[in-house]
Amino acid sequence: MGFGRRFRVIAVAATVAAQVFGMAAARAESPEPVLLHVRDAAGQEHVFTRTDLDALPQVAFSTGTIWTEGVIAFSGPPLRQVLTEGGITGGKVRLIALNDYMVECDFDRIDTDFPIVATRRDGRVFSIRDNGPLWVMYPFDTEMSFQDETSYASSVWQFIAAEAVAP
Amino acid sequence: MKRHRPAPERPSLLATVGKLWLLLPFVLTGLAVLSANAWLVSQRLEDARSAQSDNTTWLVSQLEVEALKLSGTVDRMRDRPWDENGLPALRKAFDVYLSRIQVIDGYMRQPGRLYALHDNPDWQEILRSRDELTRFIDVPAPELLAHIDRISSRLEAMRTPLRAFVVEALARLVEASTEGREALAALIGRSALIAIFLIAVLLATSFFMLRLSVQLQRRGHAEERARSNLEKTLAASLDGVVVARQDGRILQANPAAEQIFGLAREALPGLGIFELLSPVAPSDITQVRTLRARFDAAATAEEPPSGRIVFRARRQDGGEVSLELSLAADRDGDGALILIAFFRDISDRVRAEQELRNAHDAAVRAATAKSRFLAVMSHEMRTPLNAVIAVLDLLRSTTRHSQRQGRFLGIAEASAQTALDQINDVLEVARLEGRDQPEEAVPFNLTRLTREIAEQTAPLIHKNRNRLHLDLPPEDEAQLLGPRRLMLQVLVNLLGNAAKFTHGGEIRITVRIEASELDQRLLSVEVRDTGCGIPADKLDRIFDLFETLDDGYDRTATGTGLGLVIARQAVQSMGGEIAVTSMPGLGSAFRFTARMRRGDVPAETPPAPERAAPALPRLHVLVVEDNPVNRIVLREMLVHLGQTVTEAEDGPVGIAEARGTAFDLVLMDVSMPGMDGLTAAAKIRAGGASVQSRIVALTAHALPEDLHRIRASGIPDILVKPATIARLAELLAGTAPGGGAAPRRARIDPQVIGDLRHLLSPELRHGNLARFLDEGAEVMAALEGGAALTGPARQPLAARLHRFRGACALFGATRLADLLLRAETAPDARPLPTGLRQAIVDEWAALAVDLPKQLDPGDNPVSSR
Repeated sequence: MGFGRRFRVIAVAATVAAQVFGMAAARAESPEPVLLHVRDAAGQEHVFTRTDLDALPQVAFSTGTIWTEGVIAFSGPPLRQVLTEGGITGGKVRLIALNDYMVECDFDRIDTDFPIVATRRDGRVFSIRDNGPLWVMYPFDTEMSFQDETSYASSVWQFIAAEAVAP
Repeated sequence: MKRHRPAPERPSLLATVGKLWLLLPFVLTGLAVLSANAWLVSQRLEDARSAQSDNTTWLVSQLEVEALKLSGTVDRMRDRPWDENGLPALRKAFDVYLSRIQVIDGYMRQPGRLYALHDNPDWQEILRSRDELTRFIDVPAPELLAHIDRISSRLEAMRTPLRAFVVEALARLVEASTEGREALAALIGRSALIAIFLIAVLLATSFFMLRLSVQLQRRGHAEERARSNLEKTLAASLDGVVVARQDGRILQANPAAEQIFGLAREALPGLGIFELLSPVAPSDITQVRTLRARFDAAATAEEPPSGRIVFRARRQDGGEVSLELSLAADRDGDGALILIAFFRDISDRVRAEQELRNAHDAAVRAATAKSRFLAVMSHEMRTPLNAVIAVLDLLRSTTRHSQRQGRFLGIAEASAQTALDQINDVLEVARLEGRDQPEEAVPFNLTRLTREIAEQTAPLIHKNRNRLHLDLPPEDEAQLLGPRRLMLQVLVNLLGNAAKFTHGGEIRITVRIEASELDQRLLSVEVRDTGCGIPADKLDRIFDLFETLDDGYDRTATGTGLGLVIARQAVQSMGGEIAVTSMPGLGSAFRFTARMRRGDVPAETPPAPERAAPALPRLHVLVVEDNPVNRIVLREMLVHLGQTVTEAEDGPVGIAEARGTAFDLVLMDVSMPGMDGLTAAAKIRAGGASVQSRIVALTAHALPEDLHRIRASGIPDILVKPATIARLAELLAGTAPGGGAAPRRARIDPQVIGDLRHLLSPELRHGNLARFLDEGAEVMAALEGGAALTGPARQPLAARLHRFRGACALFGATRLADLLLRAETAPDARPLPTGLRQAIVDEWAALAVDLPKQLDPGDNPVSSR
């Protein structure tokens, strides 16, 4: 896949890191909330806070969606990377949303770079009301092949958990 | 050889291919439209694949679900206000609900299927209730708890518009997807139509291609068949057929060519035609050269020159073959020039032709031999017949006979004469057939000639009680220069026939003379009778040799039947044509034409005066004749006439006799075996006792050229056989004893002298006589003075003698004129015989005395100097 060349994988920049640490410092008294639970095939639970996710390699792109108005810049770690970090390396994966929406997909069919687990909309974290804080996102505008039922269905917003599905 | 092509098929095939090109735009257009449609369909399918609608349906219905979940959370909150976990759940549920509204609102702001619902009042109500709820919920916990009932009622109030919106939105989505499907269906339908059209076009193309292929196949079959037929034809041909390159190298040959070239068929390709056939004769070389020229000409011309070439060639195996060859040119598959030669072995034909030619030549030779035999036989018969006639004549003259015996004698004479006439006819035919020189042209008068013939034929005409009418041009217009003898023969034969076959009728001779050119005259003569006529089936053959000998026309009367043949040949010799028209029982009309030159009107000569038969001199006569019968007859006749006769049986004996004895007269037969008479006469003249003897030639050939030949040899006097007593008597009367010099004539013709005296004044007579005597003296001096008359030097003297002879004739000096003629015509390059010279000198001496006396009897004689 050539997307890696077209979309710069942005390492965690100093500025972004400063922001995150700033925020983390502000809430130092309470432990950082878990944004994502990943359970691997062995039933082992892995949790990811925003800091965890930001620590992963970042991918950024701008695209419009069928659910939003205008073009939005999304950024975050690739889903595959996140799942791998969560101990999932193959088989079927179930992606789960806050409202219990679920969708299953093959791990092998998840691209290296896309989709991403978007942690930023237009450079800012986003809330549940804006389909946040995590949104599985594809670059729909630049790659027509993502404009299909499967991609739409797996663009899970209010993404809270992923688990390996027992075969 | 033209390759066979079924002519009508060719354009149809081309037309079909042309039609196929017409289909190309249809196919291309169809393909383009189909491609465009396919693209559209794929676009549509892309839309369908994106399946916005299903997802959207889910989204919209999910809104109501989330609203219900929020209501549920609120209700649980109302039931258990103490539960401290209830508030975060409520906030979370509200967040989710808000996110749903946010999503749908964003969705509806985009151009799409739900855009029209953007201003929907239900939706506006939902948005208003959202803002209200937000104000109730986004507050600290205690206040939120206080708002719980109002939140509940507000959610309750919102349920109806929410429901209405969801239903409306779903209806819209269903409708939109239906429209999309229909559009897609239409698109696919259109594609199908175009595809069907294209398939039809392709089917049509295939059909044409199939037809094309079938036609090609059929043509291929036809050509294959034609080629096969041709090959079989050539194989079966009796003529050798050879296909060759332009340089003569053989490409192919048929089986018949094997026999012509004498080589196996397989060995022929690669060999050169010209090397295989070497010409035999020079004429064959020319023919082969012509053949090679045609090969060369084929390179430039489309078709080589046509026409057969026939030549005889030697084959490789040494055999000779006669070939007939024709040539055709064509191009082979590569367009290279090829020549197709057709050889025919005509050896058999050539052999047959040669045999035919040989047979024809043999037949002609045989016919010629027969004609010659006939002529010789006739000639040989003439000699005894002459003897018969002469002996009958002798019998009549020397024997006393009764009247009855005289009548028998007459019959015998007439029969002999008829036989002689017939033989002369046969000889005349042979002569006319074999002649290669034109008949001698002499001046004559046709009108006079016709009258003479009419007079000669008068007895026969009158005997048959016929009347004769002559329609002739005036005499002064009828003077001609031409073959008088031929004209005479034609007229005699035609008039004789008319007289013979007409009884109690009328015969008319019409003669017309036209001037065709300045000096040329075209004669047309018609002899018409009212006789028995000629049957139509014989008309076209009566002029043919031997045809008339069979039966009919001429046979009924006397004659050989050769008259008309002679007439035809004579007319042809005169450059004219002869034709006959006849009606049996009514009569016949013979017409002929002839071409001659105009003749000069001769000076009127008075007829010679009748002379009384003079008393015969007693002479010594030498008879040189090889035929014993003729010799005896001549001797007897001469003895009867009172002459002394010496006989010689051939030329040498005659010469010996003449050398020893001075004869007065020598009768010399011209045709003799060994030495002929003319040679013998020349030898007698050359020296010996009889140098001055008069020599008379005896011949059976009365033809002008024969007489001319004899005279040219120096013998002016000719006795044509048969010799009769009367003619011998006449001959003897003109012969002087001793010299034999002057013939029957007097030294001076008294008639001429009479005329001169009558016509000229004495002064003129004297003047002319003086000049004549002077000239004579000069000539005599020349004769005596020089051995001049020998060799080339004689020439001027001969001219002077000739001129002097003319003068002698003018003064009636006939005897001297005759002597001079002999001197003139003596053989060239020989000395003038001494006897003749002496005779001339003596005669001149006598004349010079006699002539002045006779010319002027009363006057003083003019003496010669």
